Amino acid sequence: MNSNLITRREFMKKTAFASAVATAASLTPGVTFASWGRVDGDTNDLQWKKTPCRFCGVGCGLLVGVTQGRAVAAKGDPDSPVNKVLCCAKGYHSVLALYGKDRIKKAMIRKNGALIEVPMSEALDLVASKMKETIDQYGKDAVAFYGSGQWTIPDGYVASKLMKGAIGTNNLEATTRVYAWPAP
Amino acid sequence: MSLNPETAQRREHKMPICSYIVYPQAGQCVPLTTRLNALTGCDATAAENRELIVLVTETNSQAEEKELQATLARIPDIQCLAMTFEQVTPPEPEMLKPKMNKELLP
Repeated sequence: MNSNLITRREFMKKTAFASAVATAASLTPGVTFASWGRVDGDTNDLQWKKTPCRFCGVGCGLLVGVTQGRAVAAKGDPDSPVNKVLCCAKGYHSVLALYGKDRIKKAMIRKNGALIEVPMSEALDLVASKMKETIDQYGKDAVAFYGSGQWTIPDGYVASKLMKGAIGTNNLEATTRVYAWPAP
Repeated sequence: MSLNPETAQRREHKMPICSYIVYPQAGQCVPLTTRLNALTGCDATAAENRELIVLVTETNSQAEEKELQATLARIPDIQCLAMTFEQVTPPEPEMLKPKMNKELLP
């Protein structure tokens, strides 16, 4: 039997609470009751884990619901001074990105018109050779680096070192800062 | 209309679940939330802005619910108490039977 099932009484109590919250929200716009359901394991084995949202550079606080090793829900962290419980549409749906069917998980190179899975070292060697070829022909500012919105701080630091320190160009950008662009 | 004793007894033991919006007196939101949570069958949640409280009650009978409502009415820190939800009476067994629409039958 599914351990996530709740009893009828529990369902009725949650419905009663939701009814009161909806009424309160209509009477007092903006009112929030974030503390309800904050307790870990509130719904059997569902645990809420703190994390920053990775979809842009604002740094909103998220609580991600995890059950059986899988993230299944996301909500704003009421203790976060950045977003104060609220999230944007991308934050609320961020869990979906983890399990997207079209998510690229391995290095791929297009060969004869088709994307072929290759070792990461081979893909990096190809990028390096193409960048070197372009720089030799057109100069340092002919190349650029565009990073992911899911970059960590160290990821961005290393990319900055590579482009500004090693290559010698300021052509470095990421979805982390270009907020409204779709995250890769 | 008077209910037969069996129906009346079943309804008396339906264990109501209700929710209320509680407006506390100024500055009394936190202590009032604590006080409400200490009452049997009460689950109080204060709003983040400390201006109102959502109270969910679960009691064993309608009589007990009325007794609890009387208790709430005597709490001076409550400025206003507004019910937003009450569990409906569970359907009678005969109401659970599917109704046949003869017009739809072949």
